[in-house]
Formats: sequence, C-alpha cells, structure tokens
Amino acid sequence: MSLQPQVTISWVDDKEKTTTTKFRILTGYTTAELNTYGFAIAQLFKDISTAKITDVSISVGLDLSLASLKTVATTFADWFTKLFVQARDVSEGVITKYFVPTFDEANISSGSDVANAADAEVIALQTLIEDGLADGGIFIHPVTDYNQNVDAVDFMRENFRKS
Amino acid sequence: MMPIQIIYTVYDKRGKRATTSVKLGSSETMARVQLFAVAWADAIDNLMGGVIRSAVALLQASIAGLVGNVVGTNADVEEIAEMQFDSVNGKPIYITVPAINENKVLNDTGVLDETDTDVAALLAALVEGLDVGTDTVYVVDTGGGEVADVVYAREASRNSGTRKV
Repeated sequence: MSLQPQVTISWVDDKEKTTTTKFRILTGYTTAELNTYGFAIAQLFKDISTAKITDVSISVGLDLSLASLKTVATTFADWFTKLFVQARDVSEGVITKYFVPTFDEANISSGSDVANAADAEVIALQTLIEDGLADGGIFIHPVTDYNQNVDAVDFMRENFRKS
Repeated sequence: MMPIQIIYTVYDKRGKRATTSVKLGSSETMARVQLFAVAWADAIDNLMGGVIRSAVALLQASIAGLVGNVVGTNADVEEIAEMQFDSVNGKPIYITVPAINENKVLNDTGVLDETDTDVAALLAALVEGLDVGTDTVYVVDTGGGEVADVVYAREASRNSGTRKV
C-alpha cells in the first residue's frame, strides 16, 4: 500500500539557506483540489514565517498493479545504460528529453547505437510519445515543460551515465 | 501551472536506483494520470532490464499570488516553530515552520500564541482540515489517520538549513 500523498513546502532565508516543511494528507483529491490546497496552505504557513516560500509540491503515489511489469531484474540490467529519447512539440519547436535506465541493448540496430525502429517495443514507446494514450476519444498526451503536446520523436539512442 | 510529472523508480541487478519521468498537462485529472502511468510503465518496462518499483505523480501548486512572500530581515530557517499533533490512530505527526515570526511567540514561554489570528488559522487548517471549495483536505499520519488534536506548538532551534552558496 502506498503512503498518503505528501505536501512539501520549500523555503529560503536571507542567508540563502534552504529547508522544507513536509506533511501528509488524505488520498482521493482531484488535481484541481490539490492545486487549490497547495496555494491556500502555503499562505497560512507564510503568514507566521519570515522566510520565503520557493515551491509547493504534492506527490501522490500511483497504482501500477494493472501494469504487466517484470518483478526480477535481468542479469544485464545496469543503471549505467540508458535509452535517450529526444522529442519535440513541432509547432513551437520546444524539445523534451526522456531517459530510460537499464536499457536493453537487444533493442538496438546492429552496428549502431540507435534504437531499432522496426522493433515492436521501440515502436510502442514512440507511438505513446507521439500519439498519446486514447481515453474515451480524448487522448492523454505527454507534454513539454510548457504544457504543449509532444508530437514528434527526433531520435532514440543508447546513452551512458557519466561514471 | 507546471505540468504534472510522473516519476518512476527503477532498480538494476545490483540494487542501484535510478528514476525516469514523463510529464502530462497540468489540467489532467488524477484518473487520466493514473491510466497513462500504467501505459507508460508497460512501454518502458519492455525496453529495460531493471525493475520498476514505484511511481508517483508530482504536482506543483502555483504560488504566484502568495501575499507577502518575501524574505524578512534576519530570517533564519534554523529558528523554527515545531508542532506535534496526535492522530485518531494515536500516532504523532510533526510539522515544522522555519524562520518563525517572533511576533507569533508568547514572551517568556516560547509557545506559539494561539490567540494570534494567523497562528489560529494555520492550526485550524491542520487540525480541522482546509475547505478547498469542493472538498476538505485533511492532514493525516502515514497510515491515513486524521489529526485529532494539537499536543504542542512552540519555538525551537535546530540545524535545518542547507546553505546554497
């Protein structure tokens, strides 16, 4: 069972020292309610403090029980190896990047570091990025940092962490 | 508002931890976020050798209109108000407020002045919940037990700040 959602308020003082206030709230609120709460509770905290609030975030645990996930890491699974995907919002040209750790090199085109475009699993991820997920006729789209739909993958290739 | 970020925690064969994330529009509902989180998890799991252990949705509330949100002179995050609450399950809940305004503390006792309007408003929100229009949001313990009462609310000091420069 996941823990209750956590509210984190970030602060800074006049010497640029930072700290946080954290507490948990009940589950089951909508995103609109959480956004309203985040602002309102931050104001109440700010009213008794002389520090400045720099951020208010709320983390909500998600249920992955309906996903078909592996439960044991493969022998080749290495945090060091990643799949690097660059995609963009075509209309605005803003790019966004995805990194998938422990990337399986079986999905690479032979003789290169590029993900195999004919691989069904590579195609599935690319489709999810470019087309989104259908939900009753209204698609759920990945977005850039500016809330714009990502709609084109530039490339997908193997990458490595700096050691 | 900032996009909603779904963050997955992944472990490799040696137990080393990494994270990967994807962002969805800030207007998405939690139900759609949940739906997408499962689909994305399936998609990346097929390309990984590691194991996805958990996922969270991270929302960032807009604080653009906060009143008086500036740093006061001599504000110090190490001078705090510490508050303890009891939950209905008998568990303690600790919440701290950094750089407590000395005007909110009773002279010679170090206890927060609960007759102060701002102190009273914060304590009421934490103990009784905060009305957000369509629902009331309650603070809880890690098991989901709501706050029952305040045990204490007082001034304290600690090494709590991380210096940035």
